[in-house]
Amino acid sequence: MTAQVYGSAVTGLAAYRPVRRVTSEELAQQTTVSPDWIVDRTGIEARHHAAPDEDLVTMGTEAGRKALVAAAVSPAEVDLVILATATRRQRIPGAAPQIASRIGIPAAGAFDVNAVCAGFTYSLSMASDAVRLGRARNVLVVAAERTSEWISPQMPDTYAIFGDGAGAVVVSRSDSDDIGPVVWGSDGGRSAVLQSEVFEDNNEYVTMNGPLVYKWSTATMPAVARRACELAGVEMSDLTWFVPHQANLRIITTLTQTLGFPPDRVARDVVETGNTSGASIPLALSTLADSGRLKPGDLVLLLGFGAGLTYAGQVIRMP
Amino acid sequence: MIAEDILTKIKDIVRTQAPDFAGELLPSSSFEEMGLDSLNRIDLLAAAEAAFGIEVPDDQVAGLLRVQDLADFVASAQAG
Repeated sequence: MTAQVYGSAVTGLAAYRPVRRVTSEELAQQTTVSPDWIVDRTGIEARHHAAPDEDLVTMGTEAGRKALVAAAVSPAEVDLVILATATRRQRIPGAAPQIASRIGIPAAGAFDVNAVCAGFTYSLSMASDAVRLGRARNVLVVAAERTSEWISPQMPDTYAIFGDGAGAVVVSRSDSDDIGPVVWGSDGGRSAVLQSEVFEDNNEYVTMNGPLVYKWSTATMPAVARRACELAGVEMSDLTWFVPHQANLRIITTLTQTLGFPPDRVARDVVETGNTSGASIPLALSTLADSGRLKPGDLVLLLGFGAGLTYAGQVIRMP
Repeated sequence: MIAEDILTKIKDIVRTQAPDFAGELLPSSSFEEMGLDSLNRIDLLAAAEAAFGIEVPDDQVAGLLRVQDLADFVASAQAG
């Protein structure tokens, strides 16, 4: 049996940002670090915190609906919905089927992916493969996170960085290969450096060894970035944009320097959006698009990495 | 590599990583007093890894706080 192989491409992009914007000045008043510490350590000046009615399904639905409009793809033409999320409290069921239903996508395949900060790029890779093999005409990839439910003022290092939001892309058949092969990998032996734990108040919060997360990401990700370019058949100098997971500005800056990438061509949405885990890459792409700086045909290196520890990255061409 | 040479090389690396620190570099000098926060310290350890051809395991990172700590670690790693 021969599988027909199509090209695949991102054809639509959209985002949803919660209404409430929380500055580092305001946040610092609730915890034990100063605004200067937050900005110096993380680069983050503001982030958004979701209201109770801005739940994951709602945010994901809004982003997904807008992405379909941007792609000029009707809900009836979507065969698969993938939701990347790590911050959903309700374990069962997964939320992707609900997002599909709310958008009016009739009976598509739908499932959730938990790869935390690499969730979007893993999902994008699977969406591309589904389209390429003819399993889906169009795939809606949504990344939605409510990290604000998993942080406490008693732990300022995580309290300062995490934010909420959702991003979505549509992946469709294309005459060309506009989504490059994924480079993925993991290091489960380092799982404890970024994880959730249950505390005495019976609440579960994210804990992080910041220096060790920084150590792993800055040491390991440059080779992944280069490999993703190699597999896509491009030189790093061919790239228009580098959009790494928006973990923290210090990590982004070090990666940029190590790769020798032009700093003005690197996404820094973290400054205004904080670290939104799996949603950070589509949110950063959306910010670039809204600013007019992301153009059709731009070659972009996406690189998701974080808790697991796990990573996935690929080069894409913007529609 | 003899201890004195290790210390000299480490001081050169430290000067590069902490260019704004004008004070004297003693074996007992802490990286914090040179203005390096915990993430700067990781960059310093990465520079030492590259310079000496060694690896700093995660469980050693927290204890490498002073110039002499790093010198002792490098000597041990090279002997290892």
